[in-house]
Amino acid sequence: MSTTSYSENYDNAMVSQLNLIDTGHEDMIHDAEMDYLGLYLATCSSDHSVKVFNLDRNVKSKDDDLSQKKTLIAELKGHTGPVWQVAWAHPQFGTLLASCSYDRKVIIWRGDNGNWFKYYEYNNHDSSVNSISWAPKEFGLILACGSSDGTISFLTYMSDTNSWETRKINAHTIGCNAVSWGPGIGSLSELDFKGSKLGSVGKRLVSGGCDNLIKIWKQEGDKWVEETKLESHSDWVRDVAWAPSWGLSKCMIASCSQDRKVIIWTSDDYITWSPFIMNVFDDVVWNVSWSLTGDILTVSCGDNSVSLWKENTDGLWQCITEMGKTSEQRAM
Amino acid sequence: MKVKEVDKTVNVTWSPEAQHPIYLATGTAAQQLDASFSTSATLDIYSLNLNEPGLDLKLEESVPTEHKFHKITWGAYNCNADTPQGLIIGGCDDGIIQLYNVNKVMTGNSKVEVLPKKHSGAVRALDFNNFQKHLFASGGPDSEILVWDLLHSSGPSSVPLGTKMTPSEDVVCLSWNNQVQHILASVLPSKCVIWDLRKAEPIIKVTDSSMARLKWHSVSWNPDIATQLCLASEDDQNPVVEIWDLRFATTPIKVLQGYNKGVMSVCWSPRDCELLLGCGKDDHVVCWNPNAATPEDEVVCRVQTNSQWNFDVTWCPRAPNLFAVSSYDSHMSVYSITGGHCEAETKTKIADSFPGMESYAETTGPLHQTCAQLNKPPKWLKRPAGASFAFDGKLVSFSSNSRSVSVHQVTSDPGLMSRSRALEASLEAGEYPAYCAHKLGTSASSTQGELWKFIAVGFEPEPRDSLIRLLGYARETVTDEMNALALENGELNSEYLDDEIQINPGDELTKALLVGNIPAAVNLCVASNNFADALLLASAGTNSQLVERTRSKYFQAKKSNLGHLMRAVVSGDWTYVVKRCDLTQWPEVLVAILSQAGENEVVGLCETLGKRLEEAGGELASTAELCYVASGNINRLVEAWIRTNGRSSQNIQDLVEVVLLVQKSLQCRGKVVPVCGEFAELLSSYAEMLVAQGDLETARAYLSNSTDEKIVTLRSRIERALGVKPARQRLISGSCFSKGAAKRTSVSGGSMYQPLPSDSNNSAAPPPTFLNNSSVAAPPPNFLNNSSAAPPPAFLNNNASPLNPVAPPPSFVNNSAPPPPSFVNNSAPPPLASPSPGLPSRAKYLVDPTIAGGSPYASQSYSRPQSSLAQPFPPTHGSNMFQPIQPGGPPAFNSNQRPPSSVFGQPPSSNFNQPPSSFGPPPSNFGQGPPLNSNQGPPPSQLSYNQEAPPPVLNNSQSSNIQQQQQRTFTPGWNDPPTLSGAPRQARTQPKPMAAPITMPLFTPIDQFSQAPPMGSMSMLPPQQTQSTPLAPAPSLFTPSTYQGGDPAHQPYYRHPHSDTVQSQTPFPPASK
Repeated sequence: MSTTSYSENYDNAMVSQLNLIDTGHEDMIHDAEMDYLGLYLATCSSDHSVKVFNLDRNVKSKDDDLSQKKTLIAELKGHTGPVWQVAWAHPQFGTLLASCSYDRKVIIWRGDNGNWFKYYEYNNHDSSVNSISWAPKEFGLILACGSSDGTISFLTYMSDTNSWETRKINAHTIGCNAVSWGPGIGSLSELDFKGSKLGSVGKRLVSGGCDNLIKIWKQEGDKWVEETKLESHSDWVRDVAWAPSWGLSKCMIASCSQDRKVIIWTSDDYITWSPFIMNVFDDVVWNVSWSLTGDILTVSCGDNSVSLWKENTDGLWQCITEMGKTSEQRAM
Repeated sequence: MKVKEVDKTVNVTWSPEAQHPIYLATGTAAQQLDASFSTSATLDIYSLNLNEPGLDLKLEESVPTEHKFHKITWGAYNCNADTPQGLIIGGCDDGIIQLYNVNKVMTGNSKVEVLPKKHSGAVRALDFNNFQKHLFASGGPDSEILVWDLLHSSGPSSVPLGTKMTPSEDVVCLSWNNQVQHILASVLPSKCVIWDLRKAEPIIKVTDSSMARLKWHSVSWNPDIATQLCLASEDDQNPVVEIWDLRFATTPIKVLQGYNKGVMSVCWSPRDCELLLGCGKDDHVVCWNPNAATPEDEVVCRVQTNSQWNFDVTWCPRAPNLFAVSSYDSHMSVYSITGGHCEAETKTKIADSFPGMESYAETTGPLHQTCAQLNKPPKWLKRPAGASFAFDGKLVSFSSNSRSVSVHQVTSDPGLMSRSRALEASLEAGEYPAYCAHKLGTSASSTQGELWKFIAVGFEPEPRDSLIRLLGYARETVTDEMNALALENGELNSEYLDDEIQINPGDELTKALLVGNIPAAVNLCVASNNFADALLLASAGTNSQLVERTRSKYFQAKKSNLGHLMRAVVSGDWTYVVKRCDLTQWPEVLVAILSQAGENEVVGLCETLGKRLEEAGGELASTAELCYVASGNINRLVEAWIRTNGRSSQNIQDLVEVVLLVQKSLQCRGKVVPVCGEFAELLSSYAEMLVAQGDLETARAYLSNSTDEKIVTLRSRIERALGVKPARQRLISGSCFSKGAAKRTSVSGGSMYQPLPSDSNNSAAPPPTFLNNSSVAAPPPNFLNNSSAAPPPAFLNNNASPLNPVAPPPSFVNNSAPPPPSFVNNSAPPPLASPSPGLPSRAKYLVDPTIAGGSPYASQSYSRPQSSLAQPFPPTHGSNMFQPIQPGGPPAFNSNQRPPSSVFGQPPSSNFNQPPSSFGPPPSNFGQGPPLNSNQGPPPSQLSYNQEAPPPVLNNSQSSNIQQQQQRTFTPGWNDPPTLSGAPRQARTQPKPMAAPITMPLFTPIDQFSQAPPMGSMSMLPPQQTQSTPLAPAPSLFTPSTYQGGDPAHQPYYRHPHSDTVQSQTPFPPASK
């Protein structure tokens, strides 16, 4: 019976394309996010629309052309400007999809068994809303929104009154480009937090803006206060992403900027953060995003390249694969 | 939105794009006086100071100067890593041109350099070449234009351009082309003259003959299209702003409206060619989109300035949304075109600084509040590319290359997956000892080897004995030795009975014995240190306390190492020994524990020992793991391992292998190993790692049974992602589940994600919760050994058939719904079908009824019960579980026949708070979180919308819109040649190869070429050779790439706002079949 071979070699990463979804958007796509289970894909575009696709592996049609049409399950129209980002809420709150737009609005859409409708609309920003992020579910249903008017809004669902409570803070003088929540309690491994200074967990948010700064915000009482200000980028911070803290005894934030740099910030007490310039790219870096286990970072640049980075055992970051630039030009 | 301001009448220039942080330089404006009639002049350098709230710019340096300025400009000349600041040049009266080395100014070493006077009067126009930072042009009265070379060998030198033109006019503005480096535009009030520096002569004169009186005052080149420029007239009667294309230089291609008074300055955004700023003699700054489809849409923003006579406006080269406006009424302000927050302190500050002007402040307050915003989204906000991960290691990415989104599977750690599958396979096959032997053979370190030896021993019939043997104390040999000793002691004889008995009444002890006062006798013996007698006597009585006490006294008196051992042996309590032993002798202590401590004490004792070893650190720390393995203490093992080895994926994999094998060995001995605490933590972490690699099936296998919250959550997530309804709780998960789970009712994880379409309509299964409860509540005693409990017997036929060796399909197309493999708690090798050697390693799926997928009957009828089957949830965590929108229970809804499409037609969850009979999930979860019933949520209008199909009219209007706009794009008009689409922008960063150096005719040959960067070849050729060089034909001035024709695919940025519509093309989720 002992025919099993135990291969223990660690090969290189493999990246294989599974699917190419023709979104049918009539202008640039600005965001694409999978939902909690990886079954539904939401996209948004300069054509003012948000689209939802079903990528359920279980409803794969034999005919590819047909299946591509079938996958579009909703087209959400309500914005009057380019839609910059979409974000899925945790399904425990229902099927909620938030979108933010240049039209200064944040819309929370709700899908009940195929019927999509506008669940809540927030229009208290004075300028383009550039980034949205749902809080970890442990904190409740809270959406953070960063706007070009320099403020960050927190929309909190109050279940007792069935209403949304909003709060706005001044964050970045001439515009906030990105927001990202710190991990919730549930994702903190018990193993790691015995004796760690990170044990005191509260609501935290990181934001990046046109003042080239990264700021870390902490909720104290019912106020949001600036806990730390990180200064290393020499141009607009385009995106920030707080790494899921799975398996890590430190917390990590990735930031990217118009200055073509990606910086990894690490801390073990939320106060002192040490920057590490992961790489300087050939073009503006627009997007950084962590894998759900927090060990891989994707970096997307203005030259359309998307690369994946992983920290090796020596603490250095290595590009494990690069896609884009030319290879993806099919299916215009 | 106003960001910063300075209350002075100044000329202003931004620091070059490369400069960080951003500075502004201001020079006191010439021919302007303030209220104090001050004639002093300064050149000030401010930092933008965005981090501070309030409107103040931070003054970095101030240099007093003799001359006021008509124009200042900041070039990137001499910029390098050490001195990034560059050079400021200022044009003053009397032909004076001042140079400020910013690096020196910033270090307080300000020394003004003045260029030789070449102009006959005030220098009103200055501009640095965009490509060759050492070249700039200056303009003075009488049409004088000079091109200066700062790198010239004999110091900065200038060459005049062209000849005097009539009428004699001042040069009011100069601007170098953004793409073609030898093209310079010069503006005189009556005309705009374009120069080609290679020929040193004007190539075109732009005059608008249709306009009677024009006073050109400003020019700005299109940032992307080399042949387009914008001209503005300051004449109040004809305040026109015209876009010209030099290829059609007879008439402007577009005249921009929006100004009532003269336009003093225009500036085209370097980052977005659809944004053009203009300012003038009234109190606002206008931003046009020259590309707009209709004239009404041309003005995209109007920024109210509370100052008159704005004479200059410039975009910030580095921060694309900022621009600076200078006005003659003592203001220089920085605005953001994308809005910003309007701070209340702004108003108060103004009021404070102008006492008695509160009313003024109040009236201007609202101006601050109106946050002007562009109607047209600027290019710099448009994210062109991005990527994000999904739950299962899928990567979604998009880019401006296409309108498609691609989905990739990322497997960053294939090694992990292969090891994981190997482990899973051997666990499933039950070949534990073989696996241990393999691990032992391949273990990298001796400590690992030891560990695997310990684990392997666990599968032997008498693991404790084997362990002891492993520690060097084989019970047989020890016993043999002892027996040999015992023989030498010889046989007992009874000779002593023959002696005559003498009683000594004077002896206290004798007395005590005679009266039978055993305690007293014992005390007497102890007092005389006669412990043998004392113990003998104590044991004679029935007083067990006495025995204890006597023993204690004995051990107190005899403090030897042996004594401690004896004490432990006698009392059966090894705690003291474990706590006090010399740690290097841990194997001996472990032997003692294993051989003598009771079954229940071993764990505790080993934990104590292990903790001591861990604290000791070093070599000993790793032996703690051996103690935990020996005692089967998985949670401590996990903790210790993580502490010493960290959490790299390889270490986690190693640990999982160890832990699962230990678990197996314990189960082989009939022990129950609850998956909770650190063990559960480890498994869920491990499963997350596997999920991140895209291997959901394997991950799920490792999570098959536990009530740990994390595991349950993760398993449910995986199952729903796989499209599997939460599987029936494995019956064999007896371990900790059986203790209390029978009482736990469950919630179907269904929520938004509907069951598989493959679910057929046959619902022959009995109400699943009954199954669940009953089977769990009364597990048969021999249950743990019966791994066949899970699949209903009806499927055995399918299972046993080896004719369907269906390997599990790749996870992402997996239509089938395999139940969770049961191997983790299988205490015995699968008895049903032993996998034949030729089968793939994941042969376990052959025993999975649903995977015998060749038979649709099997999968249907099997998955059906699962679909409505409940999943156990610990009640305490119920609120954290996914809240179903639609209770997954009643099979009627699983058939995807969506109830009438109105929202009200949905099963309002409130109605489901009392789920029908046994189908439903417990009501406890409902009503928490946001309201599930839609009739609470959205405003009525939205609701009413949902009751109707999306109006098709909207679609029509939308498409006709597009058609219209496309037609517009095709109509030949001013914007016919250009397309302002991005391509040319790249061209800007790459200077076009020049046929010849642009200043060639201007400068005499010099010998220090090495100083001249790319332009180094300048003047290299002898003059006569230069002249003989055929000049490039005029069209070649502009590279073809900038002449792109209209792009039919170009999408207009303007779109009429859509009404709020929701189109749901298919129900969500889609109906199956």
